[in-house]
Formats: sequence, structure tokens, C-alpha cells
Amino acid sequence: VIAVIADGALAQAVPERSQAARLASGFRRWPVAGVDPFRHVFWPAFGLVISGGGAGWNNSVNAEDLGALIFLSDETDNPSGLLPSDYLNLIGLVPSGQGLSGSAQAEGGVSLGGALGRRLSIAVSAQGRGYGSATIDESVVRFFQEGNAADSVFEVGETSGTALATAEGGVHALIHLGPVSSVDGPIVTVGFGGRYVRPLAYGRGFLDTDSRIFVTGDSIAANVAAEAQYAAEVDGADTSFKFLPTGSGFAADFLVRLTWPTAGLAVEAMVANLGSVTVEGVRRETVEFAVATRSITEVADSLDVLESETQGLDNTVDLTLPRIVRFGASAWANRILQLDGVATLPVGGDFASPLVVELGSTWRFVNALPLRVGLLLDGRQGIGYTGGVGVETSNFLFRVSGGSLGGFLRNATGAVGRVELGFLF
Amino acid sequence: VRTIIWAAAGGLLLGIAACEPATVTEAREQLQRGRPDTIRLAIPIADDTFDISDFELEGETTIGDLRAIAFVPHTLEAAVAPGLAVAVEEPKELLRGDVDFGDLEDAVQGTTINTGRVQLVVRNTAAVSVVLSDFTLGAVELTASGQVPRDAFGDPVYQTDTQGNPILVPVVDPGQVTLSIPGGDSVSVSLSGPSLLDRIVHLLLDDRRVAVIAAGTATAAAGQPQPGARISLTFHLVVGLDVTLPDTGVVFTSGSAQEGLGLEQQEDIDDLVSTVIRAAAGAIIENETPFGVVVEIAFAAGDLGDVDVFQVPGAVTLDPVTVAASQVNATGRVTQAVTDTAEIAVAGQELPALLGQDFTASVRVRLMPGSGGGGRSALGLSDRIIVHARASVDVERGGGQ
Repeated sequence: VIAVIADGALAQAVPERSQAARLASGFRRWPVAGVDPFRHVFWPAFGLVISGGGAGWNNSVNAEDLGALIFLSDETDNPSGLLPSDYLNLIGLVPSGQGLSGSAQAEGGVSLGGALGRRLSIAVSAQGRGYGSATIDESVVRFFQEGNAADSVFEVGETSGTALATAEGGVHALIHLGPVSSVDGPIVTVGFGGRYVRPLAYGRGFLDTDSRIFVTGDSIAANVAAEAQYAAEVDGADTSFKFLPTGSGFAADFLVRLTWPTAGLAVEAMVANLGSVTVEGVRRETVEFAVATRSITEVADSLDVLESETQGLDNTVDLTLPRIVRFGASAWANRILQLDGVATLPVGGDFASPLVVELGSTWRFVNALPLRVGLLLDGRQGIGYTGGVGVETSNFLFRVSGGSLGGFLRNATGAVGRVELGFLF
Repeated sequence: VRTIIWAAAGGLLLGIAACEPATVTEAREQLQRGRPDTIRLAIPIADDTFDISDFELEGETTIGDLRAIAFVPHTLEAAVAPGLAVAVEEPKELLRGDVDFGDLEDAVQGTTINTGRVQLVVRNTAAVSVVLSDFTLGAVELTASGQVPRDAFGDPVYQTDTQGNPILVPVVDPGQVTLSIPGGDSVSVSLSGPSLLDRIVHLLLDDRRVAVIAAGTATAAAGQPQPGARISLTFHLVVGLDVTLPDTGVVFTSGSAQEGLGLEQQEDIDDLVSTVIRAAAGAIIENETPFGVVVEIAFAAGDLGDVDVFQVPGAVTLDPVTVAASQVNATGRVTQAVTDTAEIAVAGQELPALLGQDFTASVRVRLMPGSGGGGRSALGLSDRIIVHARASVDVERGGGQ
């Protein structure tokens, strides 16, 4: 439908022999933020690409706060280190009414492949990926931010932390169809791929959602249940964290991209990371703490004798990978400027992430030296900025890009970054 | 830490290194961005019942249901002969260390003891019975050389009451005028002697030399001669904690070195002083003892040894804390408990002394008499204090977005 409408509605903005038309369409995809399994298979020639990138954010500490923390914790500059008031002030940085939360994703690896003629692109890749997130319940933060003079019930169950690292090997392919309908019609690119996922490391800790603490000057009551899960290696009586645990998974990725080369327009939809990974040999340890007393001493005594209970040494955990649903559009009218809009929908679960909208512009004053500038709108962090620079030739490709979340440089509460180095044959 | 934090932040963010401040002050100001706020954290620290019967004192004992403290026992001996009446006068010096009132020593000095008993065990080694007649226990203040002072008739100069009469405790069977001890046997009697005990205690606490004298006649029944026959009197002096206090109470002070919070760096101390606006320990006290108290606390930094910190220049003296006394009856026993509140708070420049390695504190306690007993207060075994204590701290923080 889009093709038909576009065919009729879009005028030819990019003459066929213009400089803008000569730019390989694969170079027009340049999302900065988030996982993109089709990133390299789009490139215009067969080649080897080594890349790495990551993103991390939190909702409280910006870059300048981080610099202050680093400075204060540096023993050379400040022998006293962080003082109690620093920790209090740090808690005070958490936005009112929110818990302390943060997450990070990173990926790195190698990809071999690219375009095999006009109609087909294919690439195999080996990647390592990591996902991590942590949340401290708003009630916990509120206790330290506001004390317990006004409120004495603290529901702490929304406290958790999860980390997963995977090794992945996969194949992705693109089929380019068209132009459809007319010579100015869209080129339809259908992409699909799959990845075999092997867990490298897994750990998770969380409080039961009903966990709560009641604290007044006269009494303390706590009912807290916690659970820790981790891939474990058992050697006699000793249990240690195990890397490369048994388990596997599969993830599927799909993409549809419509490109109108002569109109200077492309739209894209991608659904990726559909799948799960199973981690075996997971040790579960639970601990329950229930106390109702009028003496903090009894609380301390109870904590002294608190012991975890092992719920099994060989549990199997199924983890749903953080799904990626992304829509994007690009437009260009000349060789210099390209405008992009990419929206990554929010996802819940262990590795929840908010809606992220990237509004970018790519400037090619020199065709082989693109510059990237844009905005990064995050559903939780606010406005951030992106930037990047690259070298794109027929045989060599290098891109470095980065961005901030929640502000620019000093005010940023998160950061994204990526480096790609490719050799095209 | 540096590496981890940078990695978490995404070291790829261009220019982030430029965010590091130049000075510690700048760094701290950065973390204090936003409006300052004051937080009050309150937690319960104790919910305990302190039964008087659970307090461990040196020589603790009871007189009925009254809390009491016993002297170290002493024994006197006198020879007896079958068929003869023997005059007995045996002194035994008491030492200051024979009784230990602990921290209450100063308080006892200012009171009048209303209950005191002599627990007496008389053992007769003779084969025939012995009768003690006109037999008394009295106290004398020994001379500097340790001699029993005597009057012109050669009799001991006993301590006297306000009328000038010697304070003597008759050694008799209950309801009798004599005490009989069967041959080869022993007899135990408990004799009331509050005035004697009051005098002995005050003399001892006043560092005087005191002796108890057992005097009277021991008459042995007729029988075969028995060389070495004798009677021995082992006496426990027991002081009941049943005292009469002046209306203004009595004051005693105790002091000791305490461990501080253990902060070594002056910067840490300064930080807490500036962060903690006020720290307080408050309590709701259910007082079921016959005493009220007014407590004053003074403390100073460092281990100052055995000093009265109230006299140390620059020492911090906190406001007095008062716990009201219960209602008592004419015998000083609690008839109605009282509930009171108390709070001790430190703030600002009072804090540093508590934050270092050691501090020395003196506690000055004014023990007040119960209400309605004419100053008399008697500490019973069932008396107790119930404390619901809480701590609260007001701290100041920056931040807030």
C-alpha cells in the first residue's frame, strides 16, 4: 500500500545520476542507539566488520555528578574519600517519587558478509552481548530522602537486578526486490535472520513484590523475601559463580525496508531479538526476613542469624530476550543532507527500556566523510544528543558515534556509543 | 572504582572527562545540587523491662521482698564451760570493703537506712546447752590505733542514738529475752537492727574504723568439763534498700571513659557535624521504683581518666533529664507507677567529642524520694522500670530534582 501511495505521491527528488543517488543505500542506515542485528548485512559490499557498542543510563546521576564522585573517591585527590554526607547527597539526586534505576546493554563482535549482487545480502556474525539492569524501589529511596517522620510504610518489592551475558552466532539475509510498480517505485528489502544464543553468565536478585518494611520511632516490622539466582558451579561443598553455563536459546530478527531512491525516502520496520535463552544449572537461594519488634537490637540480632535457603542447585531459567520493535524513516534530497527518524518502542520485563526516538541528520560535505548530528528523545531521560563521524569508502569503513541521554555532556544521565571498523572486498 | 564507574557510564561519551571538578569543594557542591532538605529518621532502640531483681550487685540479697545488700560475714568466738556463766565481750572490726554499694555509695551516704537486719548463726561446740543472756550486738568507732574506746567503767563506748542511748541489738530468741543454743548444735536468728546498720554504714562510708561488739553472758548448763568448748557467732549484716531521702534528694556521680564513634579524620568529623543537625535519644519510661531521678551528663573528648567531667573546662554538659518518682506509701513501697518521658539530644558543636576514638563522660544522678512517703523509698524485688526508647536523627542533605 505504501508503495502504491508513494509511487503516486512522491515526486522524483533525487535524479538518477545525481551524487545523492550514487550513495550506497546501505550507508544510509546509521542508527546510533540500541541493538541492530541487520546493521552490517546492509553494507554495500562483502566484507569483514568488527564492531562494538553499548548504552547505559540511569535516572539520577549525570556526567558531572559522576565526575564529582570519581574525584571524591580518588584517594590521591581526597584522602577521606566519600563522606557520609556524600552518600546522602547522592541519594538526594534520585528524582522525587522515583526509585533509583539504571540499565546497560553492550554488544561486540565480528560480522562477515554484505551484498552479494543487487538482490541478496547475507552475513554471518559472532557476537557477544550483555544486558543488565537494576532498580531500587522508590520506597527505599524515599526512606533516605524524606525519613520516616511523615510516612512509615515502605514497600520495597520493586527492587531487583539482573545481568545476562550471551555469546551468539547467527546468519542474516536481505532480499532486495523492485523497484516495485515503476522505475521510481520502492525497492523492498525483506530481512530475516536467526541467532543461536548461548549464555555466558547469568545472575539475578530480587525482592518479593509483597516485601515491605514498617518503621516508626516506636516499632519496626519487616516482611522481606529475597531471592538470588546465578549460574553455579558446585565443587564438593563449595559453590562458585559459573561462566559459560549450560543452556541455549534462539533469537529471530525480521525487517522490512522500503526505499525510494529517486524520491530520497526510506521507511523501515524491524522486529528483533524475538526469542529466549535457557540457562541451566541455576542455583536459587531464598531468604525470608520477618520481624516485628520495638527494638532495633532485635532486628540486628535477627539479621545476624539470617541464613539463606537453597532451593535447588540445578534449576532451569528461561529468559525472554529484550524484544526490539523499531520503526524508522529517512529522507534526503541532495548528497549533503539526510534526515532520519527512528523510534524504538518501549519494552518491559527484566531488561525494560523506555520509548526512544532518535532524530538524526547525516551531513556529507565530503561523500566519504559523513558527519552525524541528532537528538535522542528518551521516554524517561528526556532530550539527549547524538553525534558521529565516519569514513566510508568502497573498501574501508570506519564509524564512531555516540550520544547522550537526558542532556548534553555534563547533564547527560546516560550514554550510547559505537565503533565500527570494516574492510570491504 | 574509577574504572567501573567510567565503564558503566559509557566511556565513549565524548568529553565526559571534562566533567571532573577541580577541587573537593567543587565536587561536594556538585553533589549538593538542588534544594537542601532536612530528613528525620527515627528508630526504636529499646523496649526493655528492667526488673530490680535482675540487677546484679555485690553482696545482693533480700529482706523479705525488699532488695538488700549484705556485708561480708564475720565470726566471733567465746569460750564456755559447763556449769559456768561467762562474761563475753568480743569485738570484730569491719572494713570498708566488707560492703559494696557501687555507684550508689554516695547516695546511701545521704540517706537514712530504715531496714537492716543481722542474720546470726550461733554455733555451740559444747556438749551442753548454752544460754545467751543480756547479749547484744553494738557498734563502736575504734580509735586511730584500732582500740575499742571505753568509758570510765571500762565499758565500750557504743554508738548512740539521737537520745544518747547506746544502739544495741539484743540477741534473743523471738519473743524471749535470751537465746538458747542446744549442745553441739547451732541456732539461726534474724535480728532487726536498722539503726545499728545505719550507723555502721555511715561510719564506714565516712572512712571511720568501726567494730561490732558482741557482749553479754553465756551460761552453759551443768555437765562434764569440756576443754575447748566455745560458742561462735557468725553474723551477716544486711542493709535493706529502704532509705529515707531528703526532699532535695541525694546526688551521686559516676564517670568512665567510653569508646567514641571511632572517626580518625577530622574531615569525617566535620562532615558529620555539618550533616547531623540534631541527634536525640528519647524514652517513655514507666517507673515502678520508689525513686525519681534527675540525670545530668557531661562529656569531653579523650580518655581523661578518673575525673569529674563536670569540672573539665570545655566539657559539654547536656540539659538535665528528669524521670518522675512513683507514688509510695508510708513504708516507701510503690503504690502507683508513673509514666514519664525523657530525651537527651546533642547537636552541632556538642557532637565532635563523641565522634573521635574515646570520650569521657560523667553522669550526675540526683535520686529523688517517692511521692507520699515522707521521703522514704523502699526498693522491692518486684519493682521495675520499663523503657521504650527511640533514637532520632535530623540530617541535612543537598540534592533533590
